[in-house]
Amino acid sequence: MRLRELCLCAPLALCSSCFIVPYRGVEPAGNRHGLIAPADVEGLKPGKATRADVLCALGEPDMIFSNGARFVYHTRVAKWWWYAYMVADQIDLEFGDDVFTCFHFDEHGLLDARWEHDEGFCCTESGTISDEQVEHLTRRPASARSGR
Amino acid sequence: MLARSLRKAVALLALVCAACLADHPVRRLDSSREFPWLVEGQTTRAQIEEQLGPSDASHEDGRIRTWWLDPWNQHARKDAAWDVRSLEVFFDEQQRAEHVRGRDLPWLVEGTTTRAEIEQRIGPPGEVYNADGRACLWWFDADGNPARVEPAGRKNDGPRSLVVVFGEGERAQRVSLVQLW
Repeated sequence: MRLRELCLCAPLALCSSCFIVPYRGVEPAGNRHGLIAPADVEGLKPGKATRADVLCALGEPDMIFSNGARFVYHTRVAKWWWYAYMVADQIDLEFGDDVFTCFHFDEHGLLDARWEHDEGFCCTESGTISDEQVEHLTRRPASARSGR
Repeated sequence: MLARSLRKAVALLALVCAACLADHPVRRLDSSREFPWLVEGQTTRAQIEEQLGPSDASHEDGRIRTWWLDPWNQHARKDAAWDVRSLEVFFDEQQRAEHVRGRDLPWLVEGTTTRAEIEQRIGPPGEVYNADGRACLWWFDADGNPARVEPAGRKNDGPRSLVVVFGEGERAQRVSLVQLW
């Protein structure tokens, strides 16, 4: 290795490191919603709101389970960004929360219960969560308020 | 190698900064302004389908129907083509289309079509990004023809969901247009 290359590589080796950047941002994607305002959800009262009210307020859900009884809206909120820089390559990971806003309807299309489930995520830019995982994570908790 | 890595780092930092500035809220839009032809109590399902094509989802035995639209209110398939005025292609090391987003072109097949074949049909990309040039973006005008410049406005707007609740005679009883992000 020539002296010039050595001179170039020395600071590079010293600079090889990683850093974490705190930031907050909604990460949109084709099958994820943006930030849902709390007021939009608060206005949808169990026992009063209908399936049409929910759809008109938030649009088509990202996932539907239980034969249309459960609507799930998914928002990914990034909180930290970790970047490791190496001589030959680099890697980056995002950390944050997958927020699932869930609605359950009765057989007449009336909103029966709504709840929110937050799940931490850590992934690369293209990382995603499967429908099966979401189906499991968003099962109606016992504490979910019922309109009845 | 150093320059390449630094370029990547700068690109990623720019991406992070862009994300910092955007909260992408879900919001209701004025459907009467966006769709002056869609009038509650008058427009029928057939008339909507004539304009937008068949709905993408239906609820309560078809009483409620939704259409996925791109930022220009053009009908788009969910995931594959939420923005029909752009085509985003990520190439693999052999310059084959590895991942495609945006406009749905039947001749463009992931894992098969090469960059050269794409350029032969629709010309060179309007934008090349990623430090290694493996992500390319093509644009289209309102008629679906390749465009050399990015369509004005709405660049950062996300897809939309048009929700229509039908009443008697399959007439639109309630209409809502929601910007999803």
